Amino acid sequence: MSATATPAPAKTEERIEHKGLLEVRGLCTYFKLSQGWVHAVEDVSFTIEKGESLGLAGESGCGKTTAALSILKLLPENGRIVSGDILFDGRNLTKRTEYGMSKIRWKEISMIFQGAMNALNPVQETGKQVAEPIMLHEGLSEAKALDRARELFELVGINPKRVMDYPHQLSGGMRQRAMIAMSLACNPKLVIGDEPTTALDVMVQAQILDLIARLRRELDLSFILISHDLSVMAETCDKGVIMYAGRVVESGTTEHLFRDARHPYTRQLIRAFPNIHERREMVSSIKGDPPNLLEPPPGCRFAPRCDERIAGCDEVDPAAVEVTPGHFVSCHLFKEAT
Amino acid sequence: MMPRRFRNWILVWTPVAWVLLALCTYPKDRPVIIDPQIYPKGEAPTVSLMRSIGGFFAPSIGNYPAWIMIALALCAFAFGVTGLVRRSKARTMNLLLLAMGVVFVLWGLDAGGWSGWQAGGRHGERGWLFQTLALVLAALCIYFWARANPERAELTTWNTHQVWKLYRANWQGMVGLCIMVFFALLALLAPFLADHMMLDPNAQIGVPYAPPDRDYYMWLGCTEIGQSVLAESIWSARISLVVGLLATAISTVLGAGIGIAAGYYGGWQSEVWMRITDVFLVLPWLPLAMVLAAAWGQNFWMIIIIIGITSWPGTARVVRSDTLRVRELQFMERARAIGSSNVHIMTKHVLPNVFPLIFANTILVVAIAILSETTLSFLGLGDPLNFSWGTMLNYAWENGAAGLPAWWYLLPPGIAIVLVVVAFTFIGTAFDEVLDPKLRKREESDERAKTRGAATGEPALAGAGGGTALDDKEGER
Amino acid sequence: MDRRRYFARKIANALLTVVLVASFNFILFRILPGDPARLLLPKGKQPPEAVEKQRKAFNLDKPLWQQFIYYWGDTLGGEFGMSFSEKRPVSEVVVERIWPTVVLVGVGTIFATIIGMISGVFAGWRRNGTFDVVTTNLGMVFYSMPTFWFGLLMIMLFSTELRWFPTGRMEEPGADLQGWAQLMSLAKHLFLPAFTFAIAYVGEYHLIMRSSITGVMNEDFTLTARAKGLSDTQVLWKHVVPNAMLPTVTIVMMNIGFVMSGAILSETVFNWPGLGLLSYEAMQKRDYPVMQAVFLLASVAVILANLIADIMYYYLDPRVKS
Repeated sequence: MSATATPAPAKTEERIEHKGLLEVRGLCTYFKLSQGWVHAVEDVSFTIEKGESLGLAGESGCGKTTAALSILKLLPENGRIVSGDILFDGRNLTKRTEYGMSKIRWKEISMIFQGAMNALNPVQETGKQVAEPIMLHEGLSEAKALDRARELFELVGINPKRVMDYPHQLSGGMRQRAMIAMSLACNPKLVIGDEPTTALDVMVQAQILDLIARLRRELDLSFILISHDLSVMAETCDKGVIMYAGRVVESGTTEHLFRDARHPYTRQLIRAFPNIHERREMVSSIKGDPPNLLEPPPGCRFAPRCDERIAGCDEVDPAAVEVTPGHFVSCHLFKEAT
Repeated sequence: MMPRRFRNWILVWTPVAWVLLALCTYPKDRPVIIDPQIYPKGEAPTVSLMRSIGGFFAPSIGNYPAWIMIALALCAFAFGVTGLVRRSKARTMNLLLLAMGVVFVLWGLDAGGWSGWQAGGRHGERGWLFQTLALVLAALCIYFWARANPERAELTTWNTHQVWKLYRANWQGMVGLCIMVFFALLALLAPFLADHMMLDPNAQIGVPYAPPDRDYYMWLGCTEIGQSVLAESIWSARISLVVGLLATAISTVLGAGIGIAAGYYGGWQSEVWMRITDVFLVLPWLPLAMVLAAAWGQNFWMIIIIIGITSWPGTARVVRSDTLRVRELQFMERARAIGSSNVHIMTKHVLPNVFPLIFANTILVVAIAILSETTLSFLGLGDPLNFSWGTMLNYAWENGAAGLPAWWYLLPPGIAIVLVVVAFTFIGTAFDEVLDPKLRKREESDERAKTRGAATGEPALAGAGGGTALDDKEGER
Repeated sequence: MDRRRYFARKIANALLTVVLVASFNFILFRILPGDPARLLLPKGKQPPEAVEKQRKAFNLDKPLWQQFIYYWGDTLGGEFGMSFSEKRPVSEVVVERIWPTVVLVGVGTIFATIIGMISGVFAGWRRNGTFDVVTTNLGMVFYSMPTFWFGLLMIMLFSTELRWFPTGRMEEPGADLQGWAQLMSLAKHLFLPAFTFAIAYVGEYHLIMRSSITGVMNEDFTLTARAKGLSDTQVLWKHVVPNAMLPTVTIVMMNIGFVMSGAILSETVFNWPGLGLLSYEAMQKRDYPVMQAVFLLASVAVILANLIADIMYYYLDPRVKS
């Protein structure tokens, strides 16, 4: 899979018509283990318009990070996109070669990784790491790229003098800011934030979220936020997708999800979350464990833990049902609104 | 009730220990299975097959130095009595320990009493009985200890079944295991495979450096004095393996002890222990071992001690860093808060937690110890009374086998060493992979899931971390 | 931490270790069984006057603490007594044996480091690929092989059978070569011992580099680098290798200190007149003064190599600086 060996794709690439800036259609990503295939992401679909922000939520291990990595085709060696299409700005990413992907990565879709301490190379100056994609994609000299890096540092609120600092010399919040600066380096159309605030303490978390919100407004970015923290999602996103065990259980606007949650899983998830604005009550947790994705049960994957199980839940996988316009639920309890 | 995995553990290790003991103590001085056609002088006593089997399973005390028996008896008595005086939970175990002490004393008396010990002992006809008795008692001790302290037994062992499942998937580990079983069988069955008489300098079966031939003992040709290379190679397996294992035992005890102490204590105590480790780490082991072997004399036990005391610092380092990790775990705080003594915490809390690491490391040390023994023997510092692969190569080299070239003399011992060392390295690495990252990670994530469910800090996904395969995948990346 | 303080601390540390090792040396040769004065004399007939003289010469008649002080004076002055097999001062014997060892070890180490590390990088990069499976198992075998046995096989193959290289020594006995011819002869004699010496380390460096690369590739920043659109090769050489070098450098430097063991075996088998052969000869003749000196020299070499590793680490890893 040597990237340089592949010839450059034809200039006149045919534009594919699709909804929004990014449309993910029926994505299935599996991992091969010695025991078999893990169905990490199964039949996941969502759309994001230009300038919109989308939240991807679910408990850890539900496949949200895998879905994000599938978009950039950065899966580990044992991961495969088995079926489905990822349509981005008129191009089908699933059909692209490794070389074709390397032209898209960071230039058009960039990522903010979870722990900036580990996501930054410890033996390279932070500024140079920010400058690296600029040099690579725009062919600038190192000096000019570093100037850009300084501007970016200023934009995200770090003293530009610190471009030549090593990651370990920056504080946790600053590292995350540098990571954000890096993600903006090539003016991408879409930024994916994979739990960008999880490793930070609460005060810094709020600052970083504010920063992201501000940059989104200023630069008119499309943004996918991956988080297990529903409150973060409620604050930052226009739309949301709730995932459970590799499947989308419910999707819609943030309003739909938080005011009018339909799926039993979403409702339990929201109930399990402490709400600082309301009366304090005992927080409930969801009983049981997520299913083993090596041999997913035939019916609804949430059925074994579901309180409102009805006949058929264990046998038939529920299809997505549009309960109100733009609000989809995959549950046998709901019928198409006619 | 005792956990089942603990019972499996005993079932596996008791026979292993028994076989090892048999290996160390097999009477080398007794001829077995004589083939008059090959033994030239025809004067060797004929020995029946039954007797030779009996002899094989009847270790003689003569091969233990007296101090080992005395030390074993004293240890058994001391542990038993202190346990009884302190009214520990495992009362049955303490009584059994006293019984074990009695067995050791009787064993010694049977082999000739004090004078027998002093003279190096004579062969005890009932040695096998005492050895079996001692091992059965040891197994029962572990059993009753585990019954008395079920939680601790759970901590000390791991899930045999799961480890084996993971281990089996590791092809290198399985290859290593096969090679090791082969050589262990070779060592154990040596009396059946080659007559010990063939090692006698008088037992010449051909002209010097005779090339390989059809005759069984000639399969690998002859040495510089016309002895069978095959017989020597087979019997050498014993010394190489036993020296490697015993030296490793010394090295592990020293290394683990000092590593835990250095990691557990902070401040100046840690500094002192690390300083000692550093000094031993920079001492070039081969020159040191040469000096010691030249001065202390060359016998079986000295070689073991020399290798043991020159190879522990690596273990100490690894164990120390793992101890530092364990020290930060929550239950340590708890143990200290309820006022447990340092020694108690180290043996009861730290040791079980660093044990998987020590175990994997030990197997790797065996490889190094075997290689060390070979090297020392090659330089002429081995026990002149025993054959080991290193000794064989030493004789071959000094008598110019490479110039002939007598490949049949050089290749078998060398290949045997490479195979054994590779096997132990494979097994050690496999255990490292099986025990270290995956199991520990899984345990920790289980732990986290439990604590998370109880606290209200991050309850939204309380059910998470159930250890799905995907969880591991994401953790690994 | 600024540079001066870091270096000062490391040097102080090294000096302390030297002191401890030298003291260990003092203790070691005094707890060995037998009278040290007799040990320091040739075996066989040891007339009382000679023993007494030796005792005086080494201050063995003084109390232990005074002996310790005198020992330090002697050691610092390079005074290790007389070698009784060569009837010359030990320092003289040792000094003339140093450079052959340096040549052998230097050539062998350079060879081993380059080959081992490069093959390790490629093996770790394509873990479980054909190249990795072949080289890593080969490396494991090399690493497990007794050096001297491999040397014997080399002699058997290249000297006895093929007659390409001489079986030992540094030069043909009696030949008086000059200039180019001398260099060629040296190279010819050097090849087998250096190759034998290197082969074990090739395996070790390969394994270390490989596991180091594998470890770094599981780090998040490798994923970041790939996400940035760098090609696989760029990710490898710009991000993975610089990080993977760190542990490897330390181990290579440590090993340079430990060359004595490899040198003893390689030199003994090939009769290469260096320190290794010297210590083997000394051991056979129970020439304790020489053994003591070589032992001390080898220990100091290890400490020095560790110190160099620490200094190199300072420049390679920016994290050390804070």
